[in-house]
This record gives sequence, C-alpha cells and structure tokens, in this order.
Amino acid sequence: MAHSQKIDTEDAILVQKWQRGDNNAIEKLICKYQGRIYNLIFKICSNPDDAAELMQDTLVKILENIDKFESRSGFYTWAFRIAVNLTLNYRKRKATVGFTSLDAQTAADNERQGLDAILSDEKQPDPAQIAENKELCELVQKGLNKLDEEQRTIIVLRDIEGMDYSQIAEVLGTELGTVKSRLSRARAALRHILEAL
Amino acid sequence: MKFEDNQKIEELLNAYIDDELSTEESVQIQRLVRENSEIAVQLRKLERCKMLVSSLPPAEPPAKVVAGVKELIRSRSKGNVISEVERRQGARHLFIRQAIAASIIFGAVGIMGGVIYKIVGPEKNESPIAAIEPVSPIKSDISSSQNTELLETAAVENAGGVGLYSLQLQTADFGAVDAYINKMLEESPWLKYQSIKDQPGKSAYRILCSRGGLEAMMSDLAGVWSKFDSAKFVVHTDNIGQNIAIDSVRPAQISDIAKQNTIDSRVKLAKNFAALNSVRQIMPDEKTLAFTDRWLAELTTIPKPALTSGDKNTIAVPKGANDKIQVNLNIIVTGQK
Repeated sequence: MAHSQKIDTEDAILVQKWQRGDNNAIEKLICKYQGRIYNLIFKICSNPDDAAELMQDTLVKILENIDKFESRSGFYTWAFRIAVNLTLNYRKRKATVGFTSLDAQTAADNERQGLDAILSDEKQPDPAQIAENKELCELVQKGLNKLDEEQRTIIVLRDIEGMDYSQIAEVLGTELGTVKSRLSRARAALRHILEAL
Repeated sequence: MKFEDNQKIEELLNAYIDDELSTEESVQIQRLVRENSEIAVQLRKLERCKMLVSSLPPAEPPAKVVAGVKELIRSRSKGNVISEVERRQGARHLFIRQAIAASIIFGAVGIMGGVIYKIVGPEKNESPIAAIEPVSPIKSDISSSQNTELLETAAVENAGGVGLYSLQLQTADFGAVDAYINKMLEESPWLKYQSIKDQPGKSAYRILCSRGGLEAMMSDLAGVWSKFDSAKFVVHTDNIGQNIAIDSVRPAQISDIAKQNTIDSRVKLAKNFAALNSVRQIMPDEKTLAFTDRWLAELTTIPKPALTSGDKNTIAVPKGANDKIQVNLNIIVTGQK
C-alpha cells in the first residue's frame, strides 16, 4: 500500500487548519493521540515519571515543528517518530534497567506453568481473559522489559500499536527489510524469555 | 536446517502472522506448516507471543500529565498564532488610532503656533507657522517628575506604540521595599516618574522611561525580588482588545517583553511567559521546573549584568537610557495585612 493512502484525511485537514491559524485544530490532534503516545512511551521506558516527562518533551517538539511538517507522511507516524526518538535517546542517556516489582517476581514463579501452557497450547486462548489476568500481564510486561530498547520498541509498535511494516519503517527511519529482520529477532528473543519465565 | 534458512523461515512466519505476505506466499507458508510439525509449533508459539503482548492493557496518562498537556497546547498555540482576521483588525485599529493621534498633534501644534506667533512674531506680512516644527509629546521634555497630567497623556498615547505596562507587587516587608524603590527612582535621572502614596501600606509609581532604562531598573529591582510574595505584570494591548497578565513574573521577563519592537511580538512573548509561569505553579516538581527552565532559556535573551552601579555616588547612565522610544510602567506596591 502506498504511504499516501495511509495518511489519515482527518489528521491532514487538522494540520492544514492549524497551519492556517486555527488554534483548536492542534488541540484536537494532540487530544486524539495523547493516550496512545503516552502508552507507547510508557511501554518502552516502563517508568511513569519518565513517561510523563517524555510525553511533555514530545508535545513541545511537535508544537515547535508542526509548522515545518509537510504532510508527506501522516501526522500519526510523524508524531510517533518524535516520541520514539526522544524515548530511545533518553533511555540511552539514562541506561537504566526496567522496573520489575517483587510482586511480578512472585507472580513469575506462580505462573510458570501457565505461560508455558499458553505458548504451546493448541487451543487458542481468549485475549480478553489474558487482559483480565493481572499477574499474567505483569509477567508479559516483565518479559518485554528484559528485551533491549530497540527490540521492545519494534514489538510495541507492531503488536500494541498495530502499525504495519511500512509505518514502522517510517517511524524508525529504516528500511522495510530491516524491520522484518529486527521484528523477527525481537519476537524470537521475547519467546525465549517468556518460555524461561 | 541451516541457520540462514531457519532465520528466513522465522521472518516469513512473522510476516505471515502480521498479514504482510502476498496471497501466494501465504499459501506456501500454510503448506509448509501442514507438512512440518516443527514449523507448526514454531508458528503457534509466535502467534501466542504476539497475542500475549497485544492483550496488555494500555497505560493511561495520569490526570496531572493530561492537565499539563492541555495547558501547554493552549499557551503555545494561542501565543504562536494570531489569526489573519485578528491581524487585519489590529492593523485597522492601529491605523485609526494613529490617524486620530496625528490630527490631535497637528491641531495642538497649530494652536501653539498661533499663540507663539502672537507673542513673539513680527507685526505683519511674514509666515509664522513655517518656523515651528511639530513636536511629539513623547519627545517633549517633561520638566517635573510631579507633572501628572503630562505623564498620563504620554501613557495613553504610548499604549499602542511601544508599551504600557503595570506591575503589581505584594510584600510583607513594605517599608524597606518601598524605600528601596524610592531611592532607586531618585537616583535614576534618565527616567521620569511620579509617586502616589494616598493610602498607608500602598504606593503607586507612574514611570516613563526608555527600554534601556527599564532594563536597568529591572536589574536593580532583581536585588529585592525575593522579598515580593507575589509579582504580577500586565501588558496592556488596547489595539487588539486584550491585556495579558503574567503571574510570578521575573525581572528579566519584563525587560524581554519591553525589548520587543512590535505589539504582536510583545503579546506573543507575554503569553508564552504567562503559560510558562503557570505551568511552573501547577507542577512545581523538579522535573517540570527543569523542563520549563529549558523553555525559558529558549524564550529569553541572555541576561545582561546590571547596568546601574552599586556605587550610587557615581551614577552610570545605562545603555539606551536616553532612547527616544519610551515605555510607560505603573508599579503598585502593597504591604500584606
């Protein structure tokens, strides 16, 4: 699919309105994506304080640069690219280890059989039941945190944000082939981590 | 199976579960999975892995973050953009004001010319008016700092031009602060001022000075700024129909606003400062303060050292103190009850 076809028409109109001086347009755009941007940042850095700060930095950068935004890509991928770059740079500077609670550790011991079973079971598990299982979610988050930032980012963009490969390539500023190989390696690493939990 | 083959299959399986393969490639993968139980297990685990991650509940941004985001958007968007309609209205309004001011000045000059001509002019048959140049009220010398009427006139005529401002200060140490301001004004001959002290615990100062003079005054006031419990600065912008109030203002912010050459740029900067200061008040935590400091650094010019000397025996005239462009500042100091 060509990039131009993926550009959200509503977003493009709002960007044009903002550039023509409509102050409400940018508020609508940011409100539309702020939850998803925060979730993306939080899932990558797994620290609420850092996520809040990075969220504000992302927003300031969006507001400063939106005049230069030329609509060659969608606002959504452009904004996410800013958020991902800021988050990865911040994490590189800080180089902290992802937060893992004691509860999650205990849950890991308790849920060992459950995870193995879920990964190997021929019967399709119910995603809604998984979402309600707090301990299981903590385990999966813990598994994600054990990946390096780049692997975690690509999995979050694909499996949580639901971006297709060309959008991921645009956000990460890389080639489609690189996305395929990186995602494959990231999922293999996550699978091994989850199996070992 | 070779490592490279295994890696290629893994990539294809991933692309298959992500629906990124062509129909032909998908059919080939399905056949491969049917024929090879090892690959079938590999595919199932990949699918489960993907499902586990995508089932994670989304993290909601805390209310504080959402409120901060809204504040930022409002301040930055309104501060950055004045719509074309507003700009045109502003230009029209300014033109009308300038035309009225010009006709008043010419009228006054004409009357004055007539009076002077009657007093000192020759008896007859000479052109009296041609000898008198029109004089702007701002350029004219205000002979006495107590001349309320002249200062008020200048302030009104100056509001749409280079700036009319109010600074409201509240302090628990009224006596010392007021004495400091008095002394500071007395020792600044490059500015015109009048003081009004009609209530105990309250002083008002009406000041007419250049932008360089204002900057020097702010440098001096910075020395006692910590004694103010609140400092509110109001930028009067009559020509676009709204005043901008900045709470918790800092002396450098006042100087920076006054330095702007157009009313649009003054309004824009004032709004940015107002937003920045309110964000600092809403979220006074360390990270927000560090963040707003970076923002402040982008907005403000590099602070210059105080232009007035600490040694008051030799009063140094600050750079730009005698500029023809003048600003009007009303300072109101109140003591806390």
